[in-house]
Amino acid sequence: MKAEIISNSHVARGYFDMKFAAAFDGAEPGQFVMIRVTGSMDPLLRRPMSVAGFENGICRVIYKVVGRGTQLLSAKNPGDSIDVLGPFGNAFSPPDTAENILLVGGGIGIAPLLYWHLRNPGRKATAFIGGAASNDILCADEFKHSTIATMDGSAGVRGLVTSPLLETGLLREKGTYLLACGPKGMLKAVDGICIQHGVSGELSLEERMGCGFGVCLGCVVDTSGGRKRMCVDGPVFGVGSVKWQT
Amino acid sequence: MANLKVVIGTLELVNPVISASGTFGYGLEFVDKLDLRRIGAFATKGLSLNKRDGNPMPRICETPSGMINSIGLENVGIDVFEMEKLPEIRKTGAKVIANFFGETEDEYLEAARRLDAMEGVHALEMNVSCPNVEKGGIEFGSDPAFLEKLTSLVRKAIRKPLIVKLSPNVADIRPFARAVENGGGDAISAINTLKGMSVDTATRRPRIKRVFGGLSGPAIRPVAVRMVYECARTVKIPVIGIGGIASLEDMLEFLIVGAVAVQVGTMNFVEPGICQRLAEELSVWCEKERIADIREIIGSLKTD
Repeated sequence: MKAEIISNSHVARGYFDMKFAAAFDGAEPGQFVMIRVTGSMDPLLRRPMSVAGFENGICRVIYKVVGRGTQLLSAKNPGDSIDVLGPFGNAFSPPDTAENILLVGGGIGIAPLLYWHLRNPGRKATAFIGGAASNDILCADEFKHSTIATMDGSAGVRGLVTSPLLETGLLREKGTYLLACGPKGMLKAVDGICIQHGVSGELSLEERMGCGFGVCLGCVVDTSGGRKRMCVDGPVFGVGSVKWQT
Repeated sequence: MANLKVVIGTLELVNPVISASGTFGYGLEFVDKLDLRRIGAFATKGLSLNKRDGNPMPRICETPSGMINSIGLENVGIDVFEMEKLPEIRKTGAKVIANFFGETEDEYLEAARRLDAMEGVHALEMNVSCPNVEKGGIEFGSDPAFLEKLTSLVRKAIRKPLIVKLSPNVADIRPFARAVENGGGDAISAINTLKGMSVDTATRRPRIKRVFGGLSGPAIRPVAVRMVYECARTVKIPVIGIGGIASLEDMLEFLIVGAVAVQVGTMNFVEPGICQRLAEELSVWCEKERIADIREIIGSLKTD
Protein backbone atom coordinates (compact mmCIF):
# COMPACT_ATOMS: atom_id res chain seq x y z
CA MET A 1 0.00 0.00 0.00
CA LYS A 2 1.38 3.37 -1.00
CA ALA A 3 1.97 5.84 1.79
CA GLU A 4 3.01 9.46 1.64
CA ILE A 5 5.83 10.59 3.88
CA ILE A 6 4.81 13.48 6.15
CA SER A 7 8.20 13.98 7.78
CA ASN A 8 11.54 12.20 7.86
CA SER A 9 13.80 13.89 10.40
CA HIS A 10 17.40 13.20 11.26
CA VAL A 11 17.12 13.04 15.08
CA ALA A 12 20.55 11.75 16.06
CA ARG A 13 23.69 10.57 14.27
CA GLY A 14 22.48 7.59 12.23
CA TYR A 15 18.82 7.76 13.32
CA PHE A 16 15.66 9.05 11.67
CA ASP A 17 12.14 9.69 12.95
CA MET A 18 9.61 9.28 10.15
CA LYS A 19 5.87 9.89 9.90
CA PHE A 20 3.70 8.73 7.01
CA ALA A 21 0.01 8.77 6.10
CA ALA A 22 -1.13 5.22 6.85
CA ALA A 23 -3.56 3.24 4.70
CA PHE A 24 -4.54 1.23 7.81
CA ASP A 25 -6.81 2.25 10.68
CA GLY A 26 -4.43 1.89 13.58
CA ALA A 27 -1.67 -0.12 15.20
CA GLU A 28 -1.06 -1.36 18.73
CA PRO A 29 2.19 -0.77 20.63
CA GLY A 30 4.44 -3.73 19.86
CA GLN A 31 3.20 -4.20 16.30
CA PHE A 32 5.38 -3.47 13.29
CA VAL A 33 5.09 -2.51 9.63
CA MET A 34 7.01 -3.79 6.59
CA ILE A 35 8.39 -0.94 4.50
CA ARG A 36 9.45 -1.15 0.87
CA VAL A 37 11.64 1.79 0.09
CA THR A 38 11.77 1.63 -3.71
CA GLY A 39 9.95 -0.24 -6.44
CA SER A 40 13.23 -1.62 -7.78
CA MET A 41 14.53 -5.13 -7.14
CA ASP A 42 17.55 -4.06 -5.10
CA PRO A 43 17.06 -3.83 -2.20
CA LEU A 44 14.45 -6.54 -2.64
CA LEU A 45 12.84 -7.29 0.69
CA ARG A 46 10.81 -5.01 2.91
CA ARG A 47 12.28 -3.72 6.16
CA PRO A 48 10.43 -4.46 9.41
CA MET A 49 9.99 -1.40 11.65
CA SER A 50 8.29 -1.07 14.99
CA VAL A 51 5.41 1.34 15.19
CA ALA A 52 6.53 4.24 17.41
CA GLY A 53 3.26 6.12 17.28
CA PHE A 54 -0.11 6.31 15.57
CA GLU A 55 -2.43 9.30 15.66
CA ASN A 56 -5.10 10.59 13.25
CA GLY A 57 -4.08 8.19 10.53
CA ILE A 58 -0.42 9.11 10.79
CA CYS A 59 2.01 6.37 11.65
CA ARG A 60 5.43 7.03 13.16
CA VAL A 61 8.53 4.84 12.96
CA ILE A 62 12.07 5.43 14.20
CA TYR A 63 14.87 3.76 12.30
CA LYS A 64 18.61 3.41 12.28
CA VAL A 65 20.54 3.61 9.02
CA VAL A 66 22.24 0.24 8.83
CA GLY A 67 22.32 -0.73 5.16
CA ARG A 68 21.30 0.30 1.68
CA GLY A 69 17.56 0.03 2.35
CA THR A 70 17.54 2.38 5.31
CA GLN A 71 20.06 4.65 3.56
CA LEU A 72 17.68 5.09 0.63
CA LEU A 73 14.82 5.64 3.07
CA SER A 74 16.76 8.35 4.90
CA ALA A 75 17.12 10.30 1.64
CA LYS A 76 13.33 10.47 1.18
CA ASN A 77 11.58 13.81 1.62
CA PRO A 78 8.12 14.80 2.81
CA GLY A 79 5.72 14.22 -0.08
CA ASP A 80 7.71 11.23 -1.38
CA SER A 81 6.00 7.87 -1.17
CA ILE A 82 6.95 4.50 0.25
CA ASP A 83 5.09 1.20 0.22
CA VAL A 84 3.88 -0.10 3.58
CA LEU A 85 2.29 -3.40 4.62
CA GLY A 86 0.89 -4.06 8.06
CA PRO A 87 0.51 -3.60 10.88
CA PHE A 88 1.70 -7.11 11.74
CA GLY A 89 2.39 -9.06 14.91
CA ASN A 90 1.02 -9.03 18.44
CA ALA A 91 1.10 -6.20 20.96
CA PHE A 92 2.28 -5.49 24.49
CA SER A 93 -0.48 -6.37 26.90
CA PRO A 94 0.47 -5.68 30.50
CA PRO A 95 -2.37 -6.65 32.87
CA ASP A 96 -4.43 -3.86 34.44
CA THR A 97 -3.18 -5.02 37.84
CA ALA A 98 0.40 -4.02 36.91
CA GLU A 99 0.84 -0.79 38.87
CA ASN A 100 4.42 -0.15 38.11
CA ILE A 101 5.69 -0.57 34.57
CA LEU A 102 9.39 -0.72 33.78
CA LEU A 103 10.25 0.04 30.15
CA VAL A 104 13.68 -1.20 29.12
CA GLY A 105 14.86 -0.23 25.64
CA GLY A 106 18.14 -0.68 23.84
CA GLY A 107 18.91 1.57 20.85
CA ILE A 108 16.12 1.51 18.31
CA GLY A 109 14.22 -0.85 20.62
CA ILE A 110 12.86 2.20 22.37
CA ALA A 111 10.29 2.74 19.59
CA PRO A 112 7.48 0.35 20.67
CA LEU A 113 8.02 1.24 24.34
CA LEU A 114 7.61 4.93 23.54
CA TYR A 115 4.38 4.17 21.71
CA TRP A 116 3.07 2.16 24.64
CA HIS A 117 4.00 5.01 27.01
CA LEU A 118 2.29 7.66 24.88
CA ARG A 119 -0.82 5.51 24.54
CA ASN A 120 -1.04 4.90 28.30
CA PRO A 121 -0.35 8.32 29.84
CA GLY A 122 -2.20 7.44 33.03
CA ARG A 123 -0.04 4.46 33.89
CA LYS A 124 3.03 4.78 36.07
CA ALA A 125 6.08 3.95 33.99
CA THR A 126 9.82 4.29 34.36
CA ALA A 127 12.09 3.98 31.34
CA PHE A 128 15.61 2.59 31.24
CA ILE A 129 17.22 3.54 27.96
CA GLY A 130 20.50 2.07 26.84
CA GLY A 131 22.81 2.50 23.89
CA ALA A 132 26.44 2.39 22.79
CA ALA A 133 26.85 6.20 22.91
CA SER A 134 24.77 9.35 23.43
CA ASN A 135 23.52 9.36 19.81
CA ASP A 136 21.99 5.92 20.36
CA ILE A 137 19.72 7.31 23.11
CA LEU A 138 16.49 8.24 21.42
CA CYS A 139 13.36 10.06 22.55
CA ALA A 140 14.41 10.13 26.20
CA ASP A 141 12.64 13.47 26.67
CA GLU A 142 9.32 11.90 25.66
CA PHE A 143 9.28 9.72 28.78
CA LYS A 144 8.13 11.14 32.12
CA HIS A 145 10.75 9.22 34.10
CA SER A 146 13.84 7.84 32.46
CA THR A 147 17.33 6.65 33.29
CA ILE A 148 19.99 6.55 30.60
CA ALA A 149 23.00 4.26 30.30
CA THR A 150 25.66 4.31 27.58
CA MET A 151 28.60 2.01 27.06
CA ASP A 152 31.03 4.90 26.57
CA GLY A 153 29.54 7.07 29.29
CA SER A 154 28.76 9.91 26.85
CA ALA A 155 25.23 10.12 28.28
CA GLY A 156 23.78 8.97 31.61
CA VAL A 157 25.60 6.31 33.56
CA ARG A 158 28.42 4.32 31.99
CA GLY A 159 27.70 0.69 31.25
CA LEU A 160 24.84 -1.60 30.28
CA VAL A 161 21.23 -0.58 30.76
CA THR A 162 20.83 -3.53 33.08
CA SER A 163 23.07 -1.88 35.72
CA PRO A 164 20.69 0.98 36.63
CA LEU A 165 17.77 -1.46 36.27
CA LEU A 166 19.34 -3.74 38.89
CA GLU A 167 20.16 -0.86 41.20
CA THR A 168 16.62 0.44 41.32
CA GLY A 169 14.38 -0.83 44.08
CA LEU A 170 11.51 -1.03 41.61
CA LEU A 171 12.24 -4.67 40.74
CA ARG A 172 11.35 -5.62 44.31
CA GLU A 173 8.11 -3.65 44.47
CA LYS A 174 4.76 -5.36 44.30
CA GLY A 175 2.87 -4.94 41.04
CA THR A 176 6.00 -4.38 38.96
CA TYR A 177 5.78 -5.48 35.32
CA LEU A 178 8.46 -5.07 32.68
CA LEU A 179 8.31 -4.39 28.94
CA ALA A 180 11.53 -4.56 26.95
CA CYS A 181 12.75 -4.26 23.37
CA GLY A 182 16.30 -4.21 22.09
CA PRO A 183 19.15 -6.39 20.91
CA LYS A 184 19.16 -10.09 21.77
CA GLY A 185 21.96 -9.79 24.34
CA MET A 186 20.06 -7.14 26.27
CA LEU A 187 16.77 -9.05 26.15
CA LYS A 188 18.45 -12.24 27.33
CA ALA A 189 19.96 -10.36 30.30
CA VAL A 190 16.66 -8.62 31.11
CA ASP A 191 14.85 -11.95 30.88
CA GLY A 192 17.28 -13.42 33.42
CA ILE A 193 16.87 -10.45 35.76
CA CYS A 194 13.07 -10.75 35.66
CA ILE A 195 13.17 -14.46 36.40
CA GLN A 196 15.62 -13.90 39.24
CA HIS A 197 13.41 -11.22 40.81
CA GLY A 198 10.13 -12.97 40.13
CA VAL A 199 8.97 -10.10 37.91
CA SER A 200 6.59 -10.78 35.04
CA GLY A 201 6.86 -9.01 31.75
CA GLU A 202 7.08 -9.09 27.99
CA LEU A 203 9.98 -8.94 25.56
CA SER A 204 9.74 -7.69 21.99
CA LEU A 205 12.25 -9.46 19.76
CA GLU A 206 14.01 -7.96 16.76
CA GLU A 207 14.96 -10.04 13.72
CA ARG A 208 15.50 -9.86 9.99
CA MET A 209 12.28 -10.77 8.27
CA GLY A 210 11.56 -11.89 4.74
CA CYS A 211 7.82 -11.30 4.64
CA GLY A 212 6.39 -10.21 8.01
CA PHE A 213 3.22 -12.30 7.74
CA GLY A 214 4.31 -15.81 8.56
CA VAL A 215 5.20 -17.55 5.31
CA CYS A 216 8.95 -17.24 4.72
CA LEU A 217 9.83 -18.87 8.08
CA GLY A 218 12.94 -16.71 8.26
CA CYS A 219 12.34 -15.33 11.76
CA VAL A 220 11.63 -18.30 14.00
CA VAL A 221 12.47 -18.50 17.70
CA ASP A 222 12.41 -21.45 20.07
CA THR A 223 10.12 -20.95 23.04
CA SER A 224 8.73 -23.04 25.88
CA GLY A 225 5.67 -23.46 23.64
CA GLY A 226 7.74 -24.78 20.71
CA ARG A 227 9.15 -23.11 17.63
CA LYS A 228 7.37 -19.83 16.89
CA ARG A 229 7.41 -17.28 14.10
CA MET A 230 8.38 -13.88 15.51
CA CYS A 231 6.33 -12.02 12.92
CA VAL A 232 2.93 -13.60 13.60
CA ASP A 233 3.29 -15.36 16.98
CA GLY A 234 5.37 -12.41 18.30
CA PRO A 235 7.30 -10.17 18.18
CA VAL A 236 6.20 -9.89 21.84
CA PHE A 237 6.87 -12.97 24.02
CA GLY A 238 6.39 -13.44 27.75
CA VAL A 239 9.33 -13.26 30.15
CA GLY A 240 10.71 -16.76 30.70
CA SER A 241 9.35 -18.22 27.47
CA VAL A 242 12.22 -17.66 25.01
CA LYS A 243 14.88 -20.37 24.77
CA TRP A 244 17.96 -18.24 24.16
CA GLN A 245 20.55 -19.67 21.79
CA THR A 246 24.04 -19.62 23.22
CA MET B 1 -11.26 -12.23 -23.26
CA ALA B 2 -8.24 -14.29 -24.18
CA ASN B 3 -8.24 -17.92 -23.16
CA LEU B 4 -5.62 -18.25 -20.42
CA LYS B 5 -6.45 -21.83 -19.46
CA VAL B 6 -3.61 -24.30 -19.40
CA VAL B 7 -3.52 -28.02 -18.68
CA ILE B 8 -0.87 -29.96 -16.79
CA GLY B 9 -1.65 -33.66 -16.96
CA THR B 10 -5.26 -33.71 -15.81
CA LEU B 11 -4.83 -30.51 -13.84
CA GLU B 12 -6.71 -27.63 -15.41
CA LEU B 13 -5.70 -24.11 -14.45
CA VAL B 14 -7.72 -20.94 -15.09
CA ASN B 15 -4.46 -19.17 -15.89
CA PRO B 16 -0.77 -20.09 -15.91
CA VAL B 17 0.18 -18.23 -12.71
CA ILE B 18 1.00 -20.48 -9.75
CA SER B 19 2.51 -19.39 -6.46
CA ALA B 20 5.62 -21.36 -5.60
CA SER B 21 6.16 -23.74 -2.72
CA GLY B 22 7.83 -22.25 0.33
CA THR B 23 6.67 -18.73 -0.44
CA PHE B 24 2.94 -19.14 0.03
CA GLY B 25 2.61 -20.99 3.35
CA TYR B 26 -0.47 -23.21 3.19
CA GLY B 27 -2.38 -20.65 1.16
CA LEU B 28 -4.44 -19.58 4.17
CA GLU B 29 -1.98 -16.81 5.00
CA PHE B 30 -3.01 -15.18 1.71
CA VAL B 31 -6.82 -15.29 1.86
CA ASP B 32 -6.97 -11.61 2.84
CA LYS B 33 -4.32 -10.65 0.29
CA LEU B 34 -5.71 -12.03 -2.96
CA ASP B 35 -8.51 -14.14 -4.41
CA LEU B 36 -7.13 -17.68 -4.60
CA ARG B 37 -9.62 -18.57 -7.34
CA ARG B 38 -8.12 -15.91 -9.59
CA ILE B 39 -4.71 -17.57 -9.79
CA GLY B 40 -3.94 -20.84 -11.54
CA ALA B 41 -3.02 -22.73 -8.38
CA PHE B 42 -0.80 -22.49 -5.35
CA ALA B 43 1.90 -24.91 -4.22
CA THR B 44 1.99 -25.65 -0.49
CA LYS B 45 5.03 -25.46 1.74
CA GLY B 46 6.95 -28.72 1.25
CA LEU B 47 5.23 -31.43 3.30
CA SER B 48 6.80 -34.45 4.98
CA LEU B 49 5.25 -37.35 6.90
CA ASN B 50 6.45 -35.89 10.18
CA LYS B 51 6.51 -32.27 11.33
CA ARG B 52 9.94 -30.63 10.97
CA ASP B 53 11.41 -27.65 12.83
CA GLY B 54 13.99 -26.88 10.17
CA ASN B 55 17.44 -25.35 10.53
CA PRO B 56 18.88 -23.02 13.20
CA MET B 57 18.79 -19.23 12.79
CA PRO B 58 19.84 -17.15 10.95
CA ARG B 59 18.31 -18.82 7.95
CA ILE B 60 17.60 -16.01 5.50
CA CYS B 61 19.66 -13.12 4.21
CA GLU B 62 19.24 -10.60 1.46
CA THR B 63 21.60 -10.47 -1.54
CA PRO B 64 21.57 -8.22 -4.63
CA SER B 65 18.08 -8.57 -6.17
CA GLY B 66 17.58 -11.80 -4.28
CA MET B 67 17.81 -13.68 -1.05
CA ILE B 68 19.40 -16.83 0.32
CA ASN B 69 17.41 -19.18 2.52
CA SER B 70 18.19 -22.28 4.47
CA ILE B 71 14.88 -22.91 6.21
CA GLY B 72 15.54 -26.64 6.26
CA LEU B 73 12.14 -27.84 5.06
CA GLU B 74 10.27 -26.77 8.18
CA ASN B 75 6.63 -27.79 7.88
CA VAL B 76 3.62 -28.82 9.97
CA GLY B 77 3.67 -32.43 8.74
CA ILE B 78 1.09 -34.23 6.63
CA ASP B 79 -1.28 -35.03 9.54
CA VAL B 80 -1.67 -31.42 10.63
CA PHE B 81 -1.94 -30.37 6.99
CA GLU B 82 -4.82 -32.80 6.47
CA MET B 83 -6.64 -32.12 9.74
CA GLU B 84 -6.11 -28.38 10.23
CA LYS B 85 -5.09 -26.73 6.98
CA LEU B 86 -6.83 -28.59 4.18
CA PRO B 87 -10.43 -28.21 5.46
CA GLU B 88 -9.88 -24.43 5.51
CA ILE B 89 -8.10 -24.45 2.14
CA ARG B 90 -11.02 -26.32 0.56
CA LYS B 91 -13.36 -23.46 1.51
CA THR B 92 -11.31 -21.01 -0.56
CA GLY B 93 -11.92 -22.79 -3.86
CA ALA B 94 -8.19 -22.74 -4.62
CA LYS B 95 -6.44 -25.25 -6.87
CA VAL B 96 -3.91 -26.92 -4.62
CA ILE B 97 -0.57 -28.45 -5.59
CA ALA B 98 0.82 -30.31 -2.59
CA ASN B 99 4.60 -30.10 -2.54
CA PHE B 100 6.22 -33.03 -0.70
CA PHE B 101 9.52 -34.69 0.08
CA GLY B 102 11.01 -37.52 2.10
CA GLU B 103 14.35 -38.70 3.40
CA THR B 104 13.94 -42.23 2.06
CA GLU B 105 12.20 -43.77 -0.93
CA ASP B 106 9.55 -45.20 1.38
CA GLU B 107 8.88 -41.80 2.92
CA TYR B 108 8.40 -40.30 -0.54
CA LEU B 109 5.97 -43.07 -1.45
CA GLU B 110 4.02 -42.88 1.78
CA ALA B 111 3.75 -39.07 1.63
CA ALA B 112 2.62 -39.25 -2.00
CA ARG B 113 -0.04 -41.89 -1.25
CA ARG B 114 -1.38 -39.87 1.67
CA LEU B 115 -1.65 -36.65 -0.35
CA ASP B 116 -3.11 -38.48 -3.33
CA ALA B 117 -5.98 -39.65 -1.15
CA MET B 118 -6.87 -36.17 0.13
CA GLU B 119 -9.87 -34.36 -1.25
CA GLY B 120 -8.85 -30.81 -2.11
CA VAL B 121 -5.35 -31.70 -3.27
CA HIS B 122 -5.38 -31.44 -7.06
CA ALA B 123 -1.82 -32.35 -7.96
CA LEU B 124 1.45 -33.32 -6.31
CA GLU B 125 4.80 -31.62 -6.72
CA MET B 126 7.78 -33.73 -5.70
CA ASN B 127 10.79 -31.89 -4.28
CA VAL B 128 13.86 -33.97 -5.09
CA SER B 129 16.41 -31.51 -3.67
CA CYS B 130 16.40 -33.36 -0.39
CA PRO B 131 19.27 -35.45 1.02
CA ASN B 132 18.79 -39.22 0.86
CA VAL B 133 19.66 -40.50 4.34
CA GLU B 134 20.04 -44.03 2.99
CA LYS B 135 22.61 -42.95 0.42
CA GLY B 136 24.98 -40.85 2.49
CA GLY B 137 23.00 -37.63 2.13
CA ILE B 138 23.29 -37.35 -1.67
CA GLU B 139 20.25 -35.52 -3.06
CA PHE B 140 17.53 -37.65 -4.66
CA GLY B 141 17.53 -35.38 -7.66
CA SER B 142 21.27 -35.47 -8.30
CA ASP B 143 21.41 -38.78 -10.20
CA PRO B 144 19.24 -39.20 -13.31
CA ALA B 145 18.92 -42.98 -12.93
CA PHE B 146 17.78 -42.66 -9.36
CA LEU B 147 15.45 -39.78 -10.21
CA GLU B 148 13.81 -41.87 -12.93
CA LYS B 149 13.30 -44.75 -10.52
CA LEU B 150 11.81 -42.52 -7.80
CA THR B 151 9.52 -40.79 -10.31
CA SER B 152 8.36 -44.14 -11.64
CA LEU B 153 7.68 -45.56 -8.17
CA VAL B 154 5.69 -42.53 -7.06
CA ARG B 155 3.86 -42.26 -10.38
CA LYS B 156 2.63 -45.85 -10.04
CA ALA B 157 1.49 -45.26 -6.48
CA ILE B 158 -0.80 -42.30 -7.14
CA ARG B 159 -3.58 -41.17 -9.45
CA LYS B 160 -3.23 -37.38 -9.38
CA PRO B 161 -0.85 -35.47 -11.68
CA LEU B 162 2.78 -35.69 -10.57
CA ILE B 163 5.03 -32.68 -11.09
CA VAL B 164 8.73 -33.15 -10.35
CA LYS B 165 10.61 -30.01 -9.27
CA LEU B 166 14.18 -30.03 -10.56
CA SER B 167 17.29 -28.69 -8.90
CA PRO B 168 19.48 -26.35 -10.96
CA ASN B 169 22.57 -27.42 -9.05
CA VAL B 170 23.73 -29.85 -11.74
CA ALA B 171 26.10 -29.46 -14.70
CA ASP B 172 23.40 -30.27 -17.25
CA ILE B 173 19.70 -30.28 -16.40
CA ARG B 174 18.56 -32.12 -19.55
CA PRO B 175 19.26 -35.69 -18.40
CA PHE B 176 17.15 -34.94 -15.32
CA ALA B 177 14.26 -33.64 -17.40
CA ARG B 178 14.49 -36.82 -19.50
CA ALA B 179 14.57 -38.95 -16.34
CA VAL B 180 11.29 -37.44 -15.16
CA GLU B 181 9.67 -38.00 -18.54
CA ASN B 182 10.93 -41.59 -18.77
CA GLY B 183 9.76 -42.24 -15.23
CA GLY B 184 6.24 -41.24 -16.20
CA GLY B 185 6.14 -37.83 -14.53
CA ASP B 186 3.32 -35.61 -15.79
CA ALA B 187 5.28 -32.37 -15.67
CA ILE B 188 8.53 -30.73 -14.64
CA SER B 189 8.84 -27.59 -12.59
CA ALA B 190 12.17 -25.77 -12.74
CA ILE B 191 14.11 -24.32 -11.18
CA ASN B 192 14.49 -24.79 -7.46
CA THR B 193 16.93 -22.42 -5.72
CA LEU B 194 20.59 -22.12 -6.72
CA LYS B 195 23.07 -23.05 -4.04
CA GLY B 196 24.68 -19.86 -2.73
CA MET B 197 26.67 -18.30 0.07
CA SER B 198 27.09 -14.85 1.57
CA VAL B 199 29.56 -13.62 4.18
CA ASP B 200 29.26 -10.79 6.72
CA THR B 201 32.67 -9.18 6.30
CA ALA B 202 32.49 -7.38 9.66
CA THR B 203 32.09 -10.62 11.64
CA ARG B 204 33.65 -12.92 8.97
CA ARG B 205 30.79 -15.30 9.51
CA PRO B 206 28.47 -16.78 6.91
CA ARG B 207 25.21 -14.84 6.91
CA ILE B 208 23.33 -18.16 7.01
CA LYS B 209 23.95 -20.43 10.00
CA ARG B 210 24.21 -23.53 7.79
CA VAL B 211 26.76 -21.68 5.60
CA PHE B 212 25.08 -22.50 2.26
CA GLY B 213 21.53 -21.71 1.29
CA GLY B 214 19.28 -21.48 -1.75
CA LEU B 215 19.45 -18.29 -3.80
CA SER B 216 16.14 -17.04 -5.18
CA GLY B 217 14.62 -13.85 -6.53
CA PRO B 218 15.13 -11.78 -9.70
CA ALA B 219 18.90 -12.38 -9.49
CA ILE B 220 18.48 -15.98 -10.72
CA ARG B 221 16.04 -15.33 -13.55
CA PRO B 222 18.41 -15.51 -16.55
CA VAL B 223 19.76 -18.85 -15.28
CA ALA B 224 16.22 -20.11 -14.79
CA VAL B 225 15.06 -19.00 -18.23
CA ARG B 226 18.01 -20.83 -19.82
CA MET B 227 17.30 -24.03 -17.91
CA VAL B 228 13.56 -23.93 -18.62
CA TYR B 229 14.38 -23.46 -22.29
CA GLU B 230 16.68 -26.50 -22.17
CA CYS B 231 14.03 -28.61 -20.41
CA ALA B 232 11.26 -27.56 -22.78
CA ARG B 233 13.37 -28.52 -25.80
CA THR B 234 14.29 -31.86 -24.27
CA VAL B 235 10.93 -33.28 -23.16
CA LYS B 236 7.36 -33.39 -24.40
CA ILE B 237 5.72 -33.20 -20.97
CA PRO B 238 4.78 -29.71 -19.75
CA VAL B 239 7.43 -27.58 -18.05
CA ILE B 240 6.50 -25.06 -15.36
CA GLY B 241 8.97 -22.17 -15.26
CA ILE B 242 10.19 -20.80 -11.95
CA GLY B 243 12.87 -18.27 -11.07
CA GLY B 244 12.72 -14.64 -10.05
CA ILE B 245 9.46 -13.65 -11.71
CA ALA B 246 8.48 -10.14 -10.63
CA SER B 247 6.61 -8.73 -13.63
CA LEU B 248 4.46 -9.54 -16.65
CA GLU B 249 7.55 -9.26 -18.84
CA ASP B 250 9.40 -11.82 -16.70
CA MET B 251 6.50 -14.24 -16.93
CA LEU B 252 6.31 -13.85 -20.72
CA GLU B 253 10.00 -14.73 -21.00
CA PHE B 254 9.34 -18.14 -19.45
CA LEU B 255 6.24 -18.77 -21.56
CA ILE B 256 8.03 -17.83 -24.77
CA VAL B 257 10.89 -20.26 -24.11
CA GLY B 258 8.36 -23.03 -23.64
CA ALA B 259 6.97 -23.01 -20.12
CA VAL B 260 3.28 -23.98 -20.04
CA ALA B 261 2.82 -22.22 -16.72
CA VAL B 262 4.96 -20.29 -14.25
CA GLN B 263 5.47 -20.16 -10.53
CA VAL B 264 6.10 -16.93 -8.64
CA GLY B 265 8.14 -17.35 -5.48
CA THR B 266 10.21 -14.80 -3.59
CA MET B 267 8.14 -11.85 -4.79
CA ASN B 268 5.17 -13.16 -2.77
CA PHE B 269 7.08 -11.96 0.30
CA VAL B 270 7.46 -8.46 -1.08
CA GLU B 271 4.08 -8.09 -2.77
CA PRO B 272 1.62 -10.67 -1.41
CA GLY B 273 -0.94 -9.96 -4.14
CA ILE B 274 1.50 -10.33 -7.03
CA CYS B 275 0.16 -13.61 -8.47
CA GLN B 276 -3.31 -12.19 -8.99
CA ARG B 277 -1.87 -8.94 -10.38
CA LEU B 278 0.25 -10.85 -12.91
CA ALA B 279 -2.69 -13.01 -13.97
CA GLU B 280 -4.76 -9.87 -14.57
CA GLU B 281 -1.94 -8.13 -16.41
CA LEU B 282 -1.48 -11.19 -18.63
CA SER B 283 -5.12 -11.08 -19.57
CA VAL B 284 -4.96 -7.36 -20.42
CA TRP B 285 -1.74 -7.86 -22.38
CA CYS B 286 -3.23 -10.69 -24.49
CA GLU B 287 -6.22 -8.50 -25.23
CA LYS B 288 -3.97 -5.65 -26.33
CA GLU B 289 -1.77 -7.93 -28.44
CA ARG B 290 -4.84 -9.62 -29.93
CA ILE B 291 -3.82 -12.99 -28.65
CA ALA B 292 -6.86 -15.23 -28.39
CA ASP B 293 -5.20 -18.11 -26.60
CA ILE B 294 -2.21 -18.16 -24.28
CA ARG B 295 -0.96 -21.23 -26.14
CA GLU B 296 0.00 -18.91 -29.01
CA ILE B 297 2.74 -17.54 -26.77
CA ILE B 298 4.01 -20.77 -25.23
CA GLY B 299 7.20 -21.93 -26.95
CA SER B 300 7.03 -19.12 -29.52
CA LEU B 301 10.72 -18.25 -29.23
CA LYS B 302 12.39 -17.18 -32.47
CA THR B 303 16.03 -18.10 -32.81
CA ASP B 304 16.67 -17.49 -36.49
